[in-house]
Amino acid sequence: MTKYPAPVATRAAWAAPLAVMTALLGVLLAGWTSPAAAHTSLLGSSPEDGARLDALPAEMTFTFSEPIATPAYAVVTAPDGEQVASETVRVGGTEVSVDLAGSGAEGTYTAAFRVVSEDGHPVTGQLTFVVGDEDGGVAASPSPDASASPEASASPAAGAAADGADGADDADASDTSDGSGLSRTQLYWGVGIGLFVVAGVLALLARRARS
Amino acid sequence: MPGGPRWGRRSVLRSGAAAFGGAGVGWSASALLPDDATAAEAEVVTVAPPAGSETAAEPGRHQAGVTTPPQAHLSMVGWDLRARRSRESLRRMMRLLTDDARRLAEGRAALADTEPELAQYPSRLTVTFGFGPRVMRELATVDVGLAELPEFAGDRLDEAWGQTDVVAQICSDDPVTLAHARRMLLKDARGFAEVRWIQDGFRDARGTAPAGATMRNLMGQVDGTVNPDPAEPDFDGLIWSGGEGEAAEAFAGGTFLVLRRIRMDLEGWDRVDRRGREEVIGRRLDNGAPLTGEHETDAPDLNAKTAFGFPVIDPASHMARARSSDPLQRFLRRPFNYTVPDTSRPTGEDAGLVFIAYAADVARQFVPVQRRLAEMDRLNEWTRAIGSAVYAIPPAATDDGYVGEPLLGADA
Repeated sequence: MTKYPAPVATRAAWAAPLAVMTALLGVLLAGWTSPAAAHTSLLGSSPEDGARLDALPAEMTFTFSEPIATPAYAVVTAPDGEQVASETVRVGGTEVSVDLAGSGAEGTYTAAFRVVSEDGHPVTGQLTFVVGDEDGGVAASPSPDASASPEASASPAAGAAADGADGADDADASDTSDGSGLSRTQLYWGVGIGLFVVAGVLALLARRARS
Repeated sequence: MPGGPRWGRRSVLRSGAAAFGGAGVGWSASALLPDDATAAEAEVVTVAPPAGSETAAEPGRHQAGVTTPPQAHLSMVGWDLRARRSRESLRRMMRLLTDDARRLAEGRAALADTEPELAQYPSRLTVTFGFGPRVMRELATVDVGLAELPEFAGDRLDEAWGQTDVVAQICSDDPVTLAHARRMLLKDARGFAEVRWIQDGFRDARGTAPAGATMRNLMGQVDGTVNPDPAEPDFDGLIWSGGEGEAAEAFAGGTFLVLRRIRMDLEGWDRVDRRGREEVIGRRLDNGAPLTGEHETDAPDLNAKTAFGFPVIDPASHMARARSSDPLQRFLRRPFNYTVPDTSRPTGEDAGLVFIAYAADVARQFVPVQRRLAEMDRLNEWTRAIGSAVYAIPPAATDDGYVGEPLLGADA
């Protein structure tokens, strides 16, 4: 906790509410940061999200922050709609990989994954990469869910999110705008800062009333 | 509610008055009734019997405790017959135990009951007896096709919870009644068999949840939603043995019991968030509805896809793996929760489920489902079978006979 100088008469009026508000803010922040550490997220992939490649690679690999349980699922869709990922998805520790084979259509490929970490946390997400010289491939992405960073795209799938929306400790949701308004992180910050400002105003008013 | 307590209108009125009395305004309750009603009541008073007086409905040619709506408390006793076991000694044991069970279930003291007062509230007491594979192989005169349960991948079986010769599933809504009944059975069996294990279990206390509500296990899941319904036409064939031939006739009205002691890793489960927990099962935690539905009994849509094109219900979830398009891969589950002290574990307790299932043909109905779950089921990460056994549950005893009589030959 923050230490204040020995209280003098003029400071005592605002120091108490300020301390309370600081403590509240601390609790709020601790409340949403600690479970996040236990959760799984996508650290990266090969090819990376947004990559531009000359040809479709023979394999796609996703790397996560936690060991992944079997089975894991991955789907890679070519610009013409062809499914280019093998049905067999390999899981080894924190890596999930799948063989790719397709007709080699040029354009934007969409790669979606659904995995569950060994400790039971589900992660679903989607990213894109471009094959060939086709210009503006990423911008012309067929999926509105595709986004520039793997972190942001690791948002829960619509169906699952609706069922699990009441889980207050859903770290991925808190890192990611779900497109329907404020994310949980933004909400916590807003409430915390709002309380802080209110406390300050109250303290000032109290001080004036005394003097 | 067959066999249940009957509440007359008068007794309800009286209960109402008693409730008022409890609130300290009992003196005014009689004033609420017209004078003549008060007078009439004095003549025709029927006091509702306590819940403990209720007996479990008599299921005819089947032993009670199979289709009986599960009671609040379970005690499962597994005995091994002593080395000098014989058909005759087993007959004598079953004659004694059947007589105890019959009397106690009716609220009467057992023969030579040292605490007869403890028998007065049966609280739907049922005792269901079964024989293990060794008894059926060595002592029975007919072959009903009982084979040991195979060990499944992932099992960590401890013989301390393993297969025994004889089992009694003792159930009651009242723990005192249950303890007394069990003690009578243990005393009478002592000369013939020794106890290998006792597995206690519990569900919601009587009256806690609405009648017929599906129970919750200690992981918080609604457990047992897709149990076959006694009202459906297939039910009898799924649960009760029938058919032709000498063995089938001797066993007609019997069934088979699968008993698995399933330990839960609740400390690990604590680290799974709500969405993760629901995806492991494929059902919502709040009401047990499939992730594609609204209500507990909604049929799951295993083809429903998320925005990314993945199935809403994970094909590796417990529900998806347990389901089968084969209508014969179903059985009647009757599980109970357990907790026992265990100082070797971080929290000081061992918790889980005493899984009990009844089926007319274990190899056909139960084994394929369990094989599928053992091969792949997200739930396996937090559950582990530590005990496993299977028993033949003979048909009910005749009025003056004993359970198992047709399987153990005529008295010499």
